[in-house]
Amino acid sequence: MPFWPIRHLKRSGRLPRGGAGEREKVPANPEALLLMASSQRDMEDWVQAIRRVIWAPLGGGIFGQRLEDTVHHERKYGPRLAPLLVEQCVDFIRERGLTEEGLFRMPGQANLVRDLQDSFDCGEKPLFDSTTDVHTVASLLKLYLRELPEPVVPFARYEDFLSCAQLLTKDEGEGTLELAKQVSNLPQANYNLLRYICKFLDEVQAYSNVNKMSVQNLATVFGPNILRPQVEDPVTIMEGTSLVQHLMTVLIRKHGQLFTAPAPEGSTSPRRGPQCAVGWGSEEVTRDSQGEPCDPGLPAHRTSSLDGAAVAVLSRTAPTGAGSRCSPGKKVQTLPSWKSSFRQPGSRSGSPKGGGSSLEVPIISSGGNWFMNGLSSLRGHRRASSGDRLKDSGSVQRLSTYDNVPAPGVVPGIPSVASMVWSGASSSESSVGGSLSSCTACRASDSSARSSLHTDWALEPSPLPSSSEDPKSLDLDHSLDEAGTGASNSEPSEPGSATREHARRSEALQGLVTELRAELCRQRTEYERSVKRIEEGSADLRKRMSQLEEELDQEKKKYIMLEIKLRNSERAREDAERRNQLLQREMEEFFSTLGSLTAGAKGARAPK
Amino acid sequence: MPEQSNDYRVAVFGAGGVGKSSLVLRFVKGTFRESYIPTVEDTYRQVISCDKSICTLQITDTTGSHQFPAMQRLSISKGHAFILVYSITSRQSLEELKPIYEQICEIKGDVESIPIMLVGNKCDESPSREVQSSEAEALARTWKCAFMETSAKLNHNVKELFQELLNLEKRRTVSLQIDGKKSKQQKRKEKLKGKCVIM
Repeated sequence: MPFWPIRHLKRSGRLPRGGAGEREKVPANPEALLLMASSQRDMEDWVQAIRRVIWAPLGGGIFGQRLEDTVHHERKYGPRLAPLLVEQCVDFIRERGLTEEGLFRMPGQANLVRDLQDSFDCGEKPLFDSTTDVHTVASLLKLYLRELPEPVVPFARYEDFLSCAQLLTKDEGEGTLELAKQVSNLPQANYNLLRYICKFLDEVQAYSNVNKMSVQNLATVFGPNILRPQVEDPVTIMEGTSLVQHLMTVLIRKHGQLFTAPAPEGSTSPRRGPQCAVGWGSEEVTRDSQGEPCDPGLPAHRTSSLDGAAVAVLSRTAPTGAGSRCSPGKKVQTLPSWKSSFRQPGSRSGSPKGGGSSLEVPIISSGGNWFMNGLSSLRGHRRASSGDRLKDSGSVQRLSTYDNVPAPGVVPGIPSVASMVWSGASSSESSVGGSLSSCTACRASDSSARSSLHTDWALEPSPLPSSSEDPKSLDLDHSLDEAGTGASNSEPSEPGSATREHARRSEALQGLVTELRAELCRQRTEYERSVKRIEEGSADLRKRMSQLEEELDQEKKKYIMLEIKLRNSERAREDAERRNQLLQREMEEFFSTLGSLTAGAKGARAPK
Repeated sequence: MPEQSNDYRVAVFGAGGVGKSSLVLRFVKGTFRESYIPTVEDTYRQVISCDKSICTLQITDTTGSHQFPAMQRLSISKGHAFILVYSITSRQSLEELKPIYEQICEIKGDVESIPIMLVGNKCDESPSREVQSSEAEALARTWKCAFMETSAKLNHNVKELFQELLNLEKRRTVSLQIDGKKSKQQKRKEKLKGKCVIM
């Protein structure tokens, strides 16, 4: 029965991993607590969850912690490209292991890996020394990547990356471009880590004549740790493997070409932008709904977005360094209206309409992704809650608003339109496009919009969480001023600014049209892609069919052959039986003659 | 395919680089390649005899370098017999088998009726041996499974390994010889002959 005492939670340094041997090491303590799980796996989940809660503030609980949280927490040690643990492993391997045969393929010492994991989880910083086995460190690194609640390439992007791989097999150049785009769309922390790993694997590969780990080999053993589907369904995995391998090969080989962003320092600044966007968006919607009070079925949504605004403001103003690792997420989580808009597909599909302008863009696939996210968060009880996901949505936002389509996610679509228009961006169309799709050409204007948001922000006097309306008006004000549109009134929260409202609406409508157009384009390409995929699939199936038929043919032939053999042996048996009978007959004859002989002898003797 | 239903499935497990693919390829194709390529998962088929008819022996060569827990569980739950491979030059590779064996126990329950072979591959590299065969034998005894040392490179004990594995199957008669019937006929013939000779 898997159970373990946690009486030492407070005093002794660490939690046991659950082994019976370790249990005895635990010092006796009056505050003993005994927990019992129904299975080994449950127990490990619990231990990890408890451990994370205990040690996270001290820099532990690394395994299974969200990458973003780890990066956030470690920022205080200075800017990093990857989590400390990853850097440490990589440095060690770089120093000692590059020539090791089967690096990343051979297993490390399982118990040592576990020990190291434990120490890292407890916030210790174990040092590797000359006695540490390179394979153990390599295994630790792979384990860390595997244990991430969301892989380096987030679940929501898995499909996108796979279609990239498909494109790569057809058109290398095009595929590379697409992949570069996908890569640049990753959240900052993931982007940095992926870049770091790919660069390192390229170094490993340079020694492939010694360590035998070519790019393909590395891709085979590393790919699944970086790209994995959310549902670990064998069929999905098998379908993905070759693509994942191919993709990973390209990621390693062309890392210099794919990761072009200037080396980032920390991940603070990029993540700020989106959070700001969330605040904005929600505020904007409130405004919209005030303007158009005839939103059917919206109230829940509206309040939620209001709450969202408040939350966003809160999270913005909250001091970032003060150990408030997951404060925004938690706050959001406490708002039930948010959750409902997350989970209920109905409310999701309803809300876009109510939101007005840019909101008619629910993309099926990304909606699904969102829903999946929700599921995963539900599933991983110890992991992020749906509220936590919101932060994800925030960070994703900056590039393509529509990756996070459902209610709260879509909302920010407006602000980017609005803000751009007001900040006097020369072509509102292109910037809308930029925020809409992730078209790289338009990214520039998008980011400029973002930066303008930033400045708005800087000017903004610290907003009060209680009045979510206030900061918005200030924001608007500032952007207007900057745009120099002249015709602005000084007090935008005043309801009398009808003309401006009108202009804004028409512009929003324009934006909507372009958005719809872009959306149509996107959908078309998506459909085309899926049609292609299906065609491929059917071709594949046909091939397999013919293969099977061939096999069947062969089997039939074999069967016939066997039948012939059977007949032959049957005949042989008959033959033998015939001979046997012959023999028996002969024997009978022999005996009868023998009998008659003896009889004859007896008869001969009798007369004597 | 009609045989699909009565496939006899063998799954090969073991840490990365111990020679699972080499063993399987040596058995199926009779070849050995020096190349160094990690496997994701491959399946090979071969016709064998089973309960006086033919069926397909399906050998699943699994991955050793990274775990897909779901895949591993599937391979175990679908498998009829298992080959657990380690390399005699790596103690660690033997250690890696323990969790796999435990998982087999967990999924299959009664392991004693399931053919399992513990295999120490690379016995051609005995100068750098790390695992003594006596040790592995002891482990095999506690696991209640059979043990064998092989070399895919030198084709040592490879066919024997598979034959032995099939011999362990008690619930049905499986054999590598497709012409099991014929041999029976021959036996009978010989028996008959023998009878005749006595006279």
